Amino acid sequence: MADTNVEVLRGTLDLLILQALSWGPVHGYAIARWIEDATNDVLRIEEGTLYPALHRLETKEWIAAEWGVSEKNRRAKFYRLTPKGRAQLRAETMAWTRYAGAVFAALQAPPSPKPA
Amino acid sequence: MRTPSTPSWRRYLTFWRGDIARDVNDELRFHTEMRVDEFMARGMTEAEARRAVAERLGDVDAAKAECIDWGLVRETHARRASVIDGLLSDVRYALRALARTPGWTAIALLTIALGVGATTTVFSVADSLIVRTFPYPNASRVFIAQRQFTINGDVVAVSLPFGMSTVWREKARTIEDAVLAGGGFPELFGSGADTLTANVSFVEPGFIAFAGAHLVIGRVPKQDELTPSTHLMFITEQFWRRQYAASPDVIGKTVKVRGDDWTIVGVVPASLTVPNFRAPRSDVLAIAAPDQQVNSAVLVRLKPGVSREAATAELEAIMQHADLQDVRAVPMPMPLRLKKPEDWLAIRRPLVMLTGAVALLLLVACTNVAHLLLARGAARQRELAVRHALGAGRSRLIRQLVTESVVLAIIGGALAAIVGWAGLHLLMALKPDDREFNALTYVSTNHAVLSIASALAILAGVAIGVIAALRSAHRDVAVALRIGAASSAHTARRLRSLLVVGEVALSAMLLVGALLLVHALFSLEHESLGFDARGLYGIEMRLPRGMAPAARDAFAAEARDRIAAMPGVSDAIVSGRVPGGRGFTFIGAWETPDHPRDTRESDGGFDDYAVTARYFSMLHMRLLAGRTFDEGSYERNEIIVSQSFANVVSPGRSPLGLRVRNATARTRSGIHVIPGQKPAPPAPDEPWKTIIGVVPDVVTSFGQHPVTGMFYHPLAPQGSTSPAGFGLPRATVIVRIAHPSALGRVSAFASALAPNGGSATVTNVRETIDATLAEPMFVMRLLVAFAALGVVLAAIGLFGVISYSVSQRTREIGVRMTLGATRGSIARLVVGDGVRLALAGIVLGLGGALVATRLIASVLFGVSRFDPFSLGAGAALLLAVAVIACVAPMLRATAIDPAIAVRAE
Repeated sequence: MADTNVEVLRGTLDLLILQALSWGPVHGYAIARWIEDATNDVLRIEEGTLYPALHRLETKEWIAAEWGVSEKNRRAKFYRLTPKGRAQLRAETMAWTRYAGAVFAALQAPPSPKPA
Repeated sequence: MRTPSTPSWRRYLTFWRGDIARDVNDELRFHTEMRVDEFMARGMTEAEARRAVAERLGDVDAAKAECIDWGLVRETHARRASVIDGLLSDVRYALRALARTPGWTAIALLTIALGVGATTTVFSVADSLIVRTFPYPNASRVFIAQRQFTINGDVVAVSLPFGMSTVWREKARTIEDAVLAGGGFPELFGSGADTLTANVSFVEPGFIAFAGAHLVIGRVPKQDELTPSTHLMFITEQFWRRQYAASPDVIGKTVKVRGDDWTIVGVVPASLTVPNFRAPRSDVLAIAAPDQQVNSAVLVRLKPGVSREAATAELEAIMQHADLQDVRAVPMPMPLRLKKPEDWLAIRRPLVMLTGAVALLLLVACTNVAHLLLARGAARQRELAVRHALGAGRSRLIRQLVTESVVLAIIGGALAAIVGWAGLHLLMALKPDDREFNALTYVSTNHAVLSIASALAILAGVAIGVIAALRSAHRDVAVALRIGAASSAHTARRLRSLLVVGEVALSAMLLVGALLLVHALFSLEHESLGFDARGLYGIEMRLPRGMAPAARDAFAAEARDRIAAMPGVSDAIVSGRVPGGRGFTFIGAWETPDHPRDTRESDGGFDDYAVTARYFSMLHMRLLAGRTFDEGSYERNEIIVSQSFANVVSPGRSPLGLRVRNATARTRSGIHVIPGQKPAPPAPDEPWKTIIGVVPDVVTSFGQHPVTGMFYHPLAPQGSTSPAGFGLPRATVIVRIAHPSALGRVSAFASALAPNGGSATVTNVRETIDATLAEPMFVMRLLVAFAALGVVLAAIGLFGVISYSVSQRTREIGVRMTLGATRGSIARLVVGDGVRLALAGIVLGLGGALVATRLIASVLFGVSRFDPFSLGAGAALLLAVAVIACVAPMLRATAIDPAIAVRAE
């Protein structure tokens, strides 16, 4: 199982967190579960790194946090996207799409003509 | 355990760290529990599940540590934000508090705005005149060379021998260039009906390049085109526009100046500045030919890296060895000095006075604000005590008070900037015309200085506020709460009283200084010119060289008779000098047969007049004592002296019959300040002169040479080979014109003298004197304005302190009234308080004024600085203002209802 994992780049993790929060406030565990489900567990993250990332984004004020009560009546820290974070998500999504598209196009491209 | 040395902020850090760490732990525990639940739901045992979760989490401790770090960063941000928030709320509170007492706030703001505004105005002027240099290329290396000597503490500047600049240009290695540039004397310009007075400076052709200027039109003549007979000149752009409507045809035009024909060769740009002595901005820059005897300043530009001292030494050595005609002989050393052009400005002394006056004013303003704040602080003791009791910490209260004074200072400072800006523009509007008054033409509105000065002033206000706030909050709040504000403010009251006394004293000093100047200049305007200047003109005729004394005298006598016969002319006399005009000034000591004096001593400067017996009656000059000249006066060596001269040689006694002579004359001649003249050869045995009369002092030049008094000796009888005039081919006629139309005829006559090889200048005596008075007049206006400000500020101060004291003593006054005090006695009590303070201040201030007015003694023109009128009027005015300032608080005090007042606390 471990060999199918791809190391998640830090920027990618930030993007995934922002995307996970785009539907509403959730806690860290839910974010971890969403990333797992959404990527078919391919991009399995080391969950320990998820929290420093959340705190970093909170410090950047892309996301805001609030203590609340979880569905199982436990005290949990809920994160939500700030307007600043939403703008960041839009920008990074576009950048990623272009980047991935370009890399994919390159991989599909025919061999370059030899110089005459 | 914390050691005592741990800084206090550490405590908060530990506190936050604990808090943050707990949250991070909670967050991760929640995650772990959720995962464990999830895995157990999938069928793992709890132990398996926990292991699997731990594996997925990885290095939990590192993650926690990083989370805590981010948490700390967020805490810091939040703290900063809350400080700003707190500050904003403090400011809002301060504004509300200030708005609650609109009268108090208005007075405090007015005080700051007026005091600081006036200061910024004067500092802007000082900056223009002192700090900024003349706009020459490499200005830092440009100096004016002059000689100077010190006499009675006055530095007397002496110009250089003729032709000095040429020799320096040729020989000096420490300088790049030396040019002659300066002067600025009013001269008649043009002829016939178009004659006007223009200010003429002399420059060498090299001055244009030296100053980095380019002619607007025309050309700069080459040095070798100039001969003693070439008379070429530039005119300034302003003069060109004013007189010639900027016509390009002026080049080549020939105009009569000083009686000679001068040809205009170019127009210099308006920006070009000639460093003039005390004279107005130039209209005409006459180009000095090599051996024209031009008495003017020499500008030098040092080579890069050469020190002022090295250049001075070399130039001095060259000057000592150069064989140049030198008309400046004094029996004391005259070292060469290299000065910055701006040091040359004669306005320095008045400017020092002004800056002093303004410093005083700023002190008054600061004192006012300080005591307003103190009074407010004391009045709010109760409020502060209550707030303290309700839980506001002392530091919090101090912060609130400081915020209030800072807000006050900033608003006041902004208002002050506006006042300062307006003041500067008012000053520009008030300042004398460009052509009459040199130094202020360099003043410009400089907003940078304005803002710096305002900022400094705000800073001063803040500092005062902080001190006052600390004082207010420092008192024991519990005590204040218990015994009430009135009693706890006892010591503060004494301090405030001291401040008010100081303030009244400062205003008294300003006021006395201003009144002295007003008195001096007012009497100048009306009577004490020393003579009647109405319609008075001086005609100075330069006669052909080599004219015999007899012919000269005959010429002068004929000119006098012809002028006197003109319609509209009421009188004309021959004289050696025009009153208040240029001439010989003796600087040195006067000895009597009983009191020989050392030749290096000096009693000051004394203007020498050679006059006829009719001079005094013609000028309507009052004879204060003794008699006037008669036929035998010349042979008997009789002199008439001015009041100040009499005071010097014979203090407290009648000088009549006293025999005097100048001590310097035993060895050498005194110094001459008339341009272009050789000193008389020293008389081998200077005869004693007998004083036979005393006349009033004549107003004379201001600034450049200190003039103490005048002495008059009889003009030699017609035809004798008299030394009067020092052998110069010169004759002077003073004429009184009854009708203005006569002026044209007199000018035409004077111009007509030129074809004989001579020339004449006609000057209006009054205008000449006015030009020398423009500067002190302007200073007087400013001092009066500042004194008025000072009085207003002092009145505000008195009003503040008395009304405060009334509000503090409401209870006491109530008790007195209950015990039978009448309203009249209460009124006397209140006003008496104010008057006592004012009197103390006035006495101190008059004492200070007696010392400080030494600074302006030289411009008082005969009014003693102990002038009882000025001292008395100043004291009376301030006392009246003090009583008026007490009226409102007095009315409030007498309106107190004893029944309410006694219950009030």
